[in-house]
Amino acid sequence: MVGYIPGDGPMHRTHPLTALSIVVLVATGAFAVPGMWNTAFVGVAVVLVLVERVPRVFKTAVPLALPFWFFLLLLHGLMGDDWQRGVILAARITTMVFVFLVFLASVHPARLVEAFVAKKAPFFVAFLFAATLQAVPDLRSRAAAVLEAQRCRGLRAGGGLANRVGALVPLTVPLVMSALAGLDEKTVALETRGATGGAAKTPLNPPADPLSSRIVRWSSLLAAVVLVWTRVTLW
Amino acid sequence: MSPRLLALIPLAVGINLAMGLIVQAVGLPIFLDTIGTVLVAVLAGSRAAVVTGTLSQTVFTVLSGNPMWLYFLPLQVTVALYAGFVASKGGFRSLPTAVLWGIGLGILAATLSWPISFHVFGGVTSVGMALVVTVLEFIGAPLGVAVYAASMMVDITDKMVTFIMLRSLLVSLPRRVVGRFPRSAVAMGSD
Repeated sequence: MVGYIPGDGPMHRTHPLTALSIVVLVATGAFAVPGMWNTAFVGVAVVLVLVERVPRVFKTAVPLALPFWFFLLLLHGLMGDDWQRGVILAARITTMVFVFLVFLASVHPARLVEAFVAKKAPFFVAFLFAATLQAVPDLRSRAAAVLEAQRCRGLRAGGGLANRVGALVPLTVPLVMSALAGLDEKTVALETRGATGGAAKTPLNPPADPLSSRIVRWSSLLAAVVLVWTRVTLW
Repeated sequence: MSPRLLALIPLAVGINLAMGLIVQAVGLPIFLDTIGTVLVAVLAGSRAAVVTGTLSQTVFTVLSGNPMWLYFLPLQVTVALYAGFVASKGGFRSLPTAVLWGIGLGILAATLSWPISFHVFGGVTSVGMALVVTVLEFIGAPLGVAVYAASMMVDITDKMVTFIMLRSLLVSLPRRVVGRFPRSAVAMGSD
């Protein structure tokens, strides 16, 4: 798993939405450009990793992409006698994985949320995204605790299908109930802080969005639209 | 959006993502990654569930680092709308009705997911699914049929178990929570 990696590459420095537009352009290119030409976008994605100096991306991206190469070449090449389709599909998926991981490594989630708030996105969108990123590790550790507690009480999670499905109930119900138990407290906290007051929220530290960044952003999005349009009408 | 929903939705997404640990522990070849979405549909209706499903798929994509999951977003939205409808019809009033509605959702989910699996990803979405598809193609099934059959096997089991879990949850729900979310009583068949 790759999270944010501190650095000073171009995607680290630019506005988060500009970084997102670059990712959209490269991923769209991998899908829109016909035939084996789309494999060039794997190269573009690798260049992005090197330019951003986030080599840790390789450690996650390569194990994610390799099974796709294996199975796509097996299903389409060896068994379907269409090696080219296998390579095209695998190149698309590899490009997507690489550019997406570069984006995650270059843009801190809090900075992305600030960018959305600064662009006047509805408060609930930014809040839900940030609150969910906090809730997930909490729920995962609760699930692990429930699992350990039930095993201590003698729960056996193995055996036949019915036994395994039966074991899900004493694991799932306490997890969900413990999550719902704190709901009232959270609701009151949100109410007292005026979370749904309707007034526009002020971002604490909005990312800079100079003219050059906006030009790159809109050019990237325009290029992505042109690629899709060309793909649909010409190729 | 009400403060109660703002508090509930992140928890439901957390439940969707935490279920991976539990499924791994019991060793079942299913996901159960829509339990939180179905829970919100039952407690608060389809609109809130659509937000939950969308957010769940987005956050899962971000945390796993695998962008292909985002392509299955329409599936989460379908689950949300379907579960909201089932809840409004009292579909969780008994275990057999919950099982039947769950099988219906499994068939719908497989029918929706196979074009994405087949056309966008060439039939390879995860190692487990790819193995099933490879075996089916090896014994003579065309690739498209193999992908659909594999999706059917996984989705019907997954959604059926999801609905069984939801029925168990609704039976155990404290009265205080039912009072806060009156829709849950409708889902259990009482008006």
